[in-house]
Amino acid sequence: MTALLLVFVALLALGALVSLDERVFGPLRLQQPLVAATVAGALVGDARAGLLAGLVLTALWPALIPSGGNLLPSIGLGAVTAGAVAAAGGRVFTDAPGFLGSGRALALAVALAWLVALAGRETEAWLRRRNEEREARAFAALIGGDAALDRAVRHAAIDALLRGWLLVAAAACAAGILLRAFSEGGPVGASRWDLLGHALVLGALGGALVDWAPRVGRVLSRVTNVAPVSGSPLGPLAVVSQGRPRASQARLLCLDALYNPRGQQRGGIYRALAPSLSAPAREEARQFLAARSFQTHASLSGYVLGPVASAAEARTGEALEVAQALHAPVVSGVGDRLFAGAVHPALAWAGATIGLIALSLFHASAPNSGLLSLTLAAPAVVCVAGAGIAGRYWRGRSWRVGVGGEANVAAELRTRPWARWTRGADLVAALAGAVAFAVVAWNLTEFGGTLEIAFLTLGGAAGALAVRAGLGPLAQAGLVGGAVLTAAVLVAIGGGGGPWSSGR
Amino acid sequence: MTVRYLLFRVDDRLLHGQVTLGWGSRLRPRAYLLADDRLAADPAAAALYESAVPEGVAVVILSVNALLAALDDPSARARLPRTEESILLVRTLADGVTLLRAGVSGPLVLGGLHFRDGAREVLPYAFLSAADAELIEALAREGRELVAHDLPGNERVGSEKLRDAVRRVFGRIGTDAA
Repeated sequence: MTALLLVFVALLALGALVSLDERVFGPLRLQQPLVAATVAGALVGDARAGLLAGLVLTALWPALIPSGGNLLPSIGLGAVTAGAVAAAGGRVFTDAPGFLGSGRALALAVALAWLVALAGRETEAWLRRRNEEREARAFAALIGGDAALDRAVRHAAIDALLRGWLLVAAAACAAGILLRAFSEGGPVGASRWDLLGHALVLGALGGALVDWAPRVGRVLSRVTNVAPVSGSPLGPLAVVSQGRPRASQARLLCLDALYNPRGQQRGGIYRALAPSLSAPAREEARQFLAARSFQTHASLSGYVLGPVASAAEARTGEALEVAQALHAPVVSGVGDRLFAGAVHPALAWAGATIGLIALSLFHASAPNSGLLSLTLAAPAVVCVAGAGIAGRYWRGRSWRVGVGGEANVAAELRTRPWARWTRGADLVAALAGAVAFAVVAWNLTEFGGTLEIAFLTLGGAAGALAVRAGLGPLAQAGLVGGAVLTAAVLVAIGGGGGPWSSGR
Repeated sequence: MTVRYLLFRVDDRLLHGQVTLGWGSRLRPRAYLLADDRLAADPAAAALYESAVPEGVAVVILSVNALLAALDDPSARARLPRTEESILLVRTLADGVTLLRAGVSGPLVLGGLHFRDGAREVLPYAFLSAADAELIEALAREGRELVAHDLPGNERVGSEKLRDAVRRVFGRIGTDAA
């Protein structure tokens, strides 16, 4: 019971962290399926199953368009759910390891994951509305200082933490009930009362967390509200040029924290700029931002905000006008093409390919073998480290150029310095994709795991089709649910037999 | 004159991520045609927009009047990108309506008009002024199609539904004058 509770608490903490990453710290990229699902699987005791669930969700992920204010299914929270459920396979609630078999557990995992992801999208819309209200209040209160906006960011972060926590808790309860219902021999080693007990424990923990929220807020304030200090653009805490602090890196990390349809990122943008502006310039910025929306790309923010941060006090309004009307849309297009369209898919493909190779080569290894653990962690490391390096490079570069002024930015953008990156990333994605298909084909011939492949293909294709067709949440859930159920039946009839169900 | 583009979109940010990544990856245009008076008069700003698209894709920027003139003149029209391979972007609803009335085929797609002073939210990505609301009513009376659709994967809001949403926010405007 104690171990089970620890696993639960760890999963809920992971869900809260992923939600915080999705909602507040976009650049960390912990929400990528290969990361979130693998970690969740490892927490439950089977990183291999978690990685496989992450691979399935990675197949769905490219169909989503992470651009501008687009409301997307919360793929990160879905991945936490999928990794945990796939790894549990009934074990968590019934002490009967693997009794569902990997195929059926995976089907259930992905179906639940998609539902959680859709619930994440709906709660995201709700959080944005809350942000709209709290940001408006904070902007109105800014005359007396910037503390109101800092407080609003902390509250937004707490909302995000609670959302992740509660969605994962709900998914864990649902998974427990479903896994029990699907078990062939009925509950093993635990009664229905245990299940109710787990649900009550979860509810109590949720209540405790709400009570604890003010303390969480104070901890977050230390993370999100670091005062600017000297350092280089690549330094950990501040962006500095010519000896003058330009913007806090920690604050730049929270650019999206107060995202809402009315102001978009203007709350985050004001917070990032405020340390570098004099009091009159801050007031001018507040008035400018209160009258319109403002959005930029977090990793290329220096191209947009650098010229404002370094402008003479008398030019603040003019610099903001150029930044909002001219540089922001251009940089948004470049950033989306560079990161969402090239770097992140390339990293996901590379990670997925490494994962497929690992699963193929080590499918029969003992779960606790050191080499296997290292190999299973590789896809997540590739995704997080790659995104971190790319984001850090471009944040540094954009700020170095941006603080030199608008002419510098214009000259840099006209040379299209990102072109080599997009070409390189496209090449990596193509090569990794080709290797991934080769690995799948080899598995098909070598192990005859056609049913699992059918499952992966059906689930991925149905999800991608549902998203691309612009269907509503219910239709999407129906399509994906139908596909995974079909595949689950196929797997149940055939008993799996592929490489990923071996040794279970 | 009737010309049809891959997409005919109103967006106050013209060419940005939703257009180049969202619609661009779906429709695979060979060119973006930006009909915007402000940008056409500012070569330095225009040069920035030209850098914002993927390699191998053209950006053509001209004023609304210049586009109208070019569409009426076969030799000038031949110098523009092929319409069936291009996305046409305008910054304001008024510019879109002007082109629609001049013969550019609909539907006119409202993709993004963001918050500014005096505008009210009709959809999360469509903040409209009273003048915009009047234009939408006028288009409905003229039988011209205006839809709202920010990204290919999201819900497309049809003419009727959009007009209903506008009426909920602004009330019925000028319908008796039809």
